[in-house]
Amino acid sequence: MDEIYCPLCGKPNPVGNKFCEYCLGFLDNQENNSIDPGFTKEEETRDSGGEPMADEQHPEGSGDIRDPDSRDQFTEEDKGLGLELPAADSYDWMPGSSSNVESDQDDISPISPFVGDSEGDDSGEIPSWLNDALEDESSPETLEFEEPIEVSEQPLLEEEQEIKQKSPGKLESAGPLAGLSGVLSAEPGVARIRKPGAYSTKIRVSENQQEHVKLLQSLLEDEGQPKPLPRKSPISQQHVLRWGIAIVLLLAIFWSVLFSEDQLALPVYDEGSAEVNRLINQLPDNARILVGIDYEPGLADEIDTTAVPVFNHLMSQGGLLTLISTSPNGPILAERFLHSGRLEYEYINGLDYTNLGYIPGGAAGLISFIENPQGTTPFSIDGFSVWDSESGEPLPPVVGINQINDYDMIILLVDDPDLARIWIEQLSPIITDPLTLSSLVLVTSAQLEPVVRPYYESIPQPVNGLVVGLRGGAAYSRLIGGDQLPGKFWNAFGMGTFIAALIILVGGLAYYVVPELSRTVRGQEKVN
Amino acid sequence: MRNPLYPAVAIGVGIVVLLGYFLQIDLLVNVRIMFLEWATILVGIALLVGVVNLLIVHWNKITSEHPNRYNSMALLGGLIFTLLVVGYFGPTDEVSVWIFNYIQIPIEASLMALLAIVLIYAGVRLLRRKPNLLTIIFIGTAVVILLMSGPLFGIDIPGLAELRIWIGKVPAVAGARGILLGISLGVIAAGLRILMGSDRPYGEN
Repeated sequence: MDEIYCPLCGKPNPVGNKFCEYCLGFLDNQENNSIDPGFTKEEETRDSGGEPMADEQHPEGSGDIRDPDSRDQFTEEDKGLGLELPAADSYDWMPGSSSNVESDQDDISPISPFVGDSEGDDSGEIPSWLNDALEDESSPETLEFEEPIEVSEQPLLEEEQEIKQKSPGKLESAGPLAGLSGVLSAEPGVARIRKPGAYSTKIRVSENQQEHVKLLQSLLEDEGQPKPLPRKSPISQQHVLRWGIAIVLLLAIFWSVLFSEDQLALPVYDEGSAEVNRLINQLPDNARILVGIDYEPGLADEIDTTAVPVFNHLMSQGGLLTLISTSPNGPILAERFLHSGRLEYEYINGLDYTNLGYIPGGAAGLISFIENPQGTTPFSIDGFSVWDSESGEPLPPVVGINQINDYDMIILLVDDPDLARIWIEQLSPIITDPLTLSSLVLVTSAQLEPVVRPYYESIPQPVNGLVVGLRGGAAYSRLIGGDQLPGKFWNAFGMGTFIAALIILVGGLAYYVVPELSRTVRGQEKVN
Repeated sequence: MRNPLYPAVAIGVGIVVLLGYFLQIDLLVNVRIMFLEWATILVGIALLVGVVNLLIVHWNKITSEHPNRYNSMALLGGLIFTLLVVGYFGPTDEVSVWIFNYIQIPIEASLMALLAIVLIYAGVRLLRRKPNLLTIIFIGTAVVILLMSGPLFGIDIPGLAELRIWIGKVPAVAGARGILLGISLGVIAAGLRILMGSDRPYGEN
């Protein structure tokens, strides 16, 4: 034979070549590798002709190879017919060929294609680098993670051993291909059961990572634990400032009350107070006056002090008073005012004045009283019948009063903007009527001036006179020429307002200037 | 379905009262006065109901060992004591006036005094942050009004008294007029909504 066929590509190569000229595959120069091409072609022709090769080669070889009888039969027939399994090397297309089928590592050790046949070729020396590589491959380190090979201790049957010798591929043990070697396994997962590799459960962590883990752990632990709030200092800057303001203000007022002997000058003129003074001067003797008391106890001192000169003037004219209120505190505030001892005249209940008490209902109650005073408040706060007494006559303060515009004057003492507005707006149709001789006068707290002044300055006027705050009372006191407003009130009031204005100015400027100066100084230091 | 009775009653009464205000017809005026007297009586009764409710609420707090039950006990004690004193002596007796003069008025006056200190403190701190034009105007106005409300030790600063009068008559009155106009428009709108039934403050939305 002058040609040898490559077991990998099947192409002819001259005898003596170690490697295929086409695919560089290793050429086995043994006899069984030099296949007669005629035979191979015949076999290929037979395959391509579609005739079942198994029927010719194994006409009765379909028995289960695992059955010892059938194996015996198969072996005997094969031997008797002279049908030996062809050498695997000669069928490179057929599974089980030792040259093109990857041999099972369970059965055979890997053989490098570069390892020459010891009998065939003496001249083929393995280069040193390849030898080293082969040694490395076969070194135990490369097999470190390989599972130990389990070798069945059961001895193989002779037939199986014979088949294995002829075809070193793995024998199929189940299914219709049972007994054939080199068959791809239908159950690869089952066929390759191995123990799982031994992996370490420990994580390799560096010291730096451990530090980070500890830091994170401490952060998480701290997050779940309540932290006590930082204790505030019992004396803060705000406390000092508030206490300082209060002390300075109180000292100034006390000093003024205790040591100020000379009364400071009263205001020369106030338009609203002058108008009230004029209206009271024009009142007839024993004029009927309706007095609305609608302020809260907190502002009682300011309004009472403001109203004292007005009521002294009124009482000097002999005015008879009817007191009414839309606030629950109003009736008792009225009693307190009349009996406080600050007025020059002592009025007697039921004779000089009558207290009709409290009208519930706010605006609705006030309208009801304005529309029908007798029906809305038939009794005084003491429970006496005001409009129809036991003697059959009404009480003196309400004699001749059938409706609201029968009063000669209505004076309203008020500190609340809403109440002032309700009184003014409900009385406005009566007061602005040209036929009405009655007038409406307001004695209010200083905080109410912006609200009531628009009514006073309107034309026609729903409000005819206005005494606003302690300053208005002082102006009225000066108008009537008496010492109606005690100096201790006016002086203390003046001192208090002056100190308050001073504190706001000085403190505000300090709050503004000091931080600005400190910023400027810091900026200059940075520049330097 | 909403009960149509409530809006019908409310709208009917509102229209009668409103017409009685504009039309001087005896029937309308008398009906209007009657409705107003009813309203006054009802509000008086509502005040009494409120007092009774207050008493019950605080009584329940005392009996249920509420944490603030001592405050409730003080409130109920004061209420009952005042009720007994004023009921026995009468509202204008000296004893009743004494309670008013020496308990209620000092407490409320103290609150007003505290308010004065707090306002001064707020005025001081107003300039702590970077002041703008409005802040300066606000502080300046307050200082001028304070200085010129009192006697200022007899010192006459030229123009300051006139400035105070101008502030009281022009800017303050202008602002107050705006507020009053706004209130009037709001009241008219609220009244119309009730009369049309779109606003039902008597229990139905």
